[in-house]
Amino acid sequence: MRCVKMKGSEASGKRRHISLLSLLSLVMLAGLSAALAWAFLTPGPDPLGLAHRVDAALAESGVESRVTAVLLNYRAYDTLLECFVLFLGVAIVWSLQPSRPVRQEPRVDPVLSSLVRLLVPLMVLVGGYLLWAGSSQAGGAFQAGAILGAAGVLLILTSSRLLSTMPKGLLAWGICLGLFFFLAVAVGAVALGGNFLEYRRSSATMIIIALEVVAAFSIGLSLAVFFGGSRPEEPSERTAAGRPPHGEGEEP
Amino acid sequence: MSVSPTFVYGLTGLFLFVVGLGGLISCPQLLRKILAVNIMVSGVFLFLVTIGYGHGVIIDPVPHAMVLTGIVVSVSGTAVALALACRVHETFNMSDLLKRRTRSNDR
Repeated sequence: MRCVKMKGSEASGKRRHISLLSLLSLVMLAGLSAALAWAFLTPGPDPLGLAHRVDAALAESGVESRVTAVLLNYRAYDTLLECFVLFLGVAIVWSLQPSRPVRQEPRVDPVLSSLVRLLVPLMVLVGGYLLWAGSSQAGGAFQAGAILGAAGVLLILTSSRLLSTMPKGLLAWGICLGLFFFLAVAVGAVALGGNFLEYRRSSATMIIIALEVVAAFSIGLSLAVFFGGSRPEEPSERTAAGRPPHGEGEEP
Repeated sequence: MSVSPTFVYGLTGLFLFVVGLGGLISCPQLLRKILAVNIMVSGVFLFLVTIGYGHGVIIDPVPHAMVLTGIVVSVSGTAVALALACRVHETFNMSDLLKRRTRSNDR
């Protein structure tokens, strides 16, 4: 576990210091793991947790899947804040790096690029299926968003021409869309006389499905953008700035 | 005492958490710190899912939903941390909190 490597003569004095520190941290970690294991092995007050309450209220939630009901109805606050976290993450990542032009002239293997051309529609289809399945079984916005994000990562890795022909503003607006739609639903419920994020029972199913579709789209875009690492430059920006593109230092 | 899957998964989650914490403390490299935090997070997720599974009679969906939310949040956090680490590397030319300016100032 010790990754500390000292070199040269100045190490000898510091080595004792560092070994003392690492010994101390080992003792602390051992104590922490013992405490955690004790807490885990001690039986808790209610091993079933909230399962009964979720089941009792499932008929009012608008969906049949219990995880989806928790995510988008009972604890929709969590999902709203999660959309906000994604939005904030994209904002931070984009503001830390200067915008970079989308790479042109794909030098990838033609087999690979045609495979990606086959795979991406399939992935979009699977994402759509997961989204649809989410209302009654395992699946939902997050899984669909992850698949869409993976499709985006494939497109980035093969520097597909689809990226440079993307409509202007799709990225920024698409990433904001999930958060804004969620906020609109939440505030709309207040405007209609309910509580924040409270759905009418009659319209709960439609609201949840709409939220899931929009959230999956935004999550997928955000994940792909995280992989891309910096904001892709708009064509107009490129001609205006006129600076040489710097393609080195691809971010993981 | 028979070894149940809950027991094994829960203790594995705790172990991963502690290993990640140890790595976070002892590794000075920024990238390793980010990886260590990810290992910690994986331990927490495994533990939460195990708690939700309980004894397999009725599965509690609340921890599962929390894990789903947490995965996305941890991915965002990792992306921000990586972007910050890249920025630190570009600005100070260091990737390590102990060894500053390992390569001579070539920028």
